[in-house]
Amino acid sequence: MISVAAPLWLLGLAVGPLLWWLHRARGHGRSVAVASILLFRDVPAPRSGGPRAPVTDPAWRRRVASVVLLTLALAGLTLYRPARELIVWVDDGPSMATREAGGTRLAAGFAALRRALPHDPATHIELRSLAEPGLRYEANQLAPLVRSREARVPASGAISTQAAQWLLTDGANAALEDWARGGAIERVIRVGTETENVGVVGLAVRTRLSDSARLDGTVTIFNAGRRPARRDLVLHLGREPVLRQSLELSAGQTQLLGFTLSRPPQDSAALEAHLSPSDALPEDDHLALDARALQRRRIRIGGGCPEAVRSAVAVEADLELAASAGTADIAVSCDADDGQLSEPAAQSLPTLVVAGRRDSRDAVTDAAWSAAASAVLSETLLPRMLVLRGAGRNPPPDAEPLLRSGAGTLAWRPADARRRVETRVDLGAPALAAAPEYPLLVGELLELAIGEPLIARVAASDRDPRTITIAPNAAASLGASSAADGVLPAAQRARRGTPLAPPLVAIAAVLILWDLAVSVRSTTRLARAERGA
Amino acid sequence: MSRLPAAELKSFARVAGHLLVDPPVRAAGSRGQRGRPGVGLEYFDHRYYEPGDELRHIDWRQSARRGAAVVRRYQVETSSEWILCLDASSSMCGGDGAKWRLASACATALAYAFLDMGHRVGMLIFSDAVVAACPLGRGVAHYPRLLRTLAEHVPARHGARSRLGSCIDRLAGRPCAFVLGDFLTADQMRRDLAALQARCLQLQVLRIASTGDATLPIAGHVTLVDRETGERVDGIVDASLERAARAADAAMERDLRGFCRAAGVPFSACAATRDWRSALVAHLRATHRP
Repeated sequence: MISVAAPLWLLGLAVGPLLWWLHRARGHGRSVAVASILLFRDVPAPRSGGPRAPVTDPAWRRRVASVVLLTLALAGLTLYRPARELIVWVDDGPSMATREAGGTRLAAGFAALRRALPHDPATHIELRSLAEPGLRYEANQLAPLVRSREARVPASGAISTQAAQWLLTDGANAALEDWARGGAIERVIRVGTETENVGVVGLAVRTRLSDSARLDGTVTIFNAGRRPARRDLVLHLGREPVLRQSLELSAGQTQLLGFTLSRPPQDSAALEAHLSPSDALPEDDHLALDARALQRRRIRIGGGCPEAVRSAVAVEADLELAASAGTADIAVSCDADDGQLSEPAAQSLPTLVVAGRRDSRDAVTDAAWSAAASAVLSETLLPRMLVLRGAGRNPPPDAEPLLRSGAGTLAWRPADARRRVETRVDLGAPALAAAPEYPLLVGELLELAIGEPLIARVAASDRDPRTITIAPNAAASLGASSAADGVLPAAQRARRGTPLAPPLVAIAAVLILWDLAVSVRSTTRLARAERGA
Repeated sequence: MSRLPAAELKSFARVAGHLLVDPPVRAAGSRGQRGRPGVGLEYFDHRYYEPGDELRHIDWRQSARRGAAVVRRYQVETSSEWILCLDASSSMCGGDGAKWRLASACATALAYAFLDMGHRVGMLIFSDAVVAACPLGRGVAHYPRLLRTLAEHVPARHGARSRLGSCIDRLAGRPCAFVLGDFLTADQMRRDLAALQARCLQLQVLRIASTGDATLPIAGHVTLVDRETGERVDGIVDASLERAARAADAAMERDLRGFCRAAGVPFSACAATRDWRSALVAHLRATHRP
């Protein structure tokens, strides 16, 4: 396959006929003296009678060939050999689900791809997903799935330099466009003309700190189109609409709406945001938030636990006591006097194991939290801490220390139970429980067991605004305007082709030198013949 | 015309002396004799009369003695007359003048050799007519006159045709003639050769050919102009035409060679790029009859 980088230069080929005509005229009038005309009896004579037949100087072939070769070299002729291996990178990001006249962009792209693919059975064709690295498609796949993840430029190691690289995209992903323009892609198959889309890009709620029975939330709407849009937003909690609002968004505008909800019951459905009317990409008109993320955590406190621990748990707004161990989300287990746990801690539950034996205690002097915990201990709390001593109170060697002091490790996470925190601090000591920071200490230990904060917890669901942008970027639009059937040659072909300019120029140079040599020789011989003896 | 080196001329004269003189007649059982029978004054031998012999050569005394007619033969004169005929037509300018240079060099060398052998040598330079002539002469003093005749004439570049017949009227007696030219003419040259042969005791022909005669400096559409006749022909010139011209030149030489063989005229051809010594020696060897 041969491509032309600068087709306008091909107009120079029109010089060929002109040169031929000039050489036809040039032959007249040159006479050569010969020793005897008898030797040239076979010379083809012009037509007798009519006008003299135009005869062309044979040099016109060399000169026209030189001009043609130089013109082709200037036009940037490049030879592309058919690759034995072809890799088609498929942009299967969310924007490829945009509904066009002929179905989704991805389906239309595959249809265009099937038309464009070479029918050479010797060519190995591989279709790779850009949204899910490692995923392969079949060329005859009719309705491939659109991925929820945004398509990304593949790693350079995944791009074979031996294979031809094609790209199937809608031009909405600027990174892919930049990649294609970088020269790695030999051909771009671009589909899609829709540009308008509005979507819900964020939904978040949190417990109001002043009133744990209410939730504050926000919903974010983004107009990814190029024109202003009007949408109606409805927010449902389960089946109950909790918010209705009409929105008017200018092009590229992001609008953030706040709302307040009563804390839903434990078995309530999801919180969902809907936009209407629907547009070319309906998938982003809806966003849901799991309502369970909004519920209080249920904590089960073992029977042998100090009352101070119960009091400290009660002040946490996001915690409520569980009626039974089966419904608990968190467990607090305290040592019994016989050394057994007051309630067996479930392996799957985040569990705080508190020491309960109080007969032998040491004062804590210089405690320090590990890097995994926040520093909530104040100097006022440290002097009140007592550390239990005795057999079974020491952490195993492979445990992860969480709180250290001069007396050794005070709190730790066992190596075989990553959601359990054990401590040998005497949480039932009256001096410690009377301290105002005591609930913070208990809360910190519970957060270490849960692995996330207890207060200011936010439940959120969002999507990247780039994933709802379906309009091709400016450069892609320029290319798409010249599209015939959706199959476009790349704006810039890859540099894999062999430029033909150097050999063409070399051949033209040889022809020019040859012509010069012939001209010089003819002139010399003619002068010598004229000079005679 | 540049003078040729004397040493080379002497060397060539010795070679030419051997090749130009016929071998001696040797009777069976007798000693060798120099010379050959012919027109002369000195007695050579007797032989029986054959039809065609002149009656005045019958030796009546010997005839009566032998009872059959016996004629007296005379030894041919050892010295003869050589006329060097040089073609100075415009076609001899071809090949960058190489043909004329070789022809004049050969004429110089032949003149020196013939004079060295004691012959009388004259020179006729002809084109449409005899344009320069040097009368017959003998001896060392005649050689410069021949050279001056050669040096004073240069072939015209255009318009000088080749007509060998113009020399015929200048041939007195029955001299030997040596013609040097390119013979790039049609049948006229052969007719002139036949007429010249009838007027000469001996005729030799050396054709000087040039590859440049069939080569054209430019290609394409040109007008070919005959140097001698001025005839013009428009046509397309390319490599195939040059090949055809070379073939026509070869055919012309072949025809001329055939004509000379049929007429008993010693003939040879040489290229204009050849040096005069090798060209003449090759000619003399090719035409020598042992």
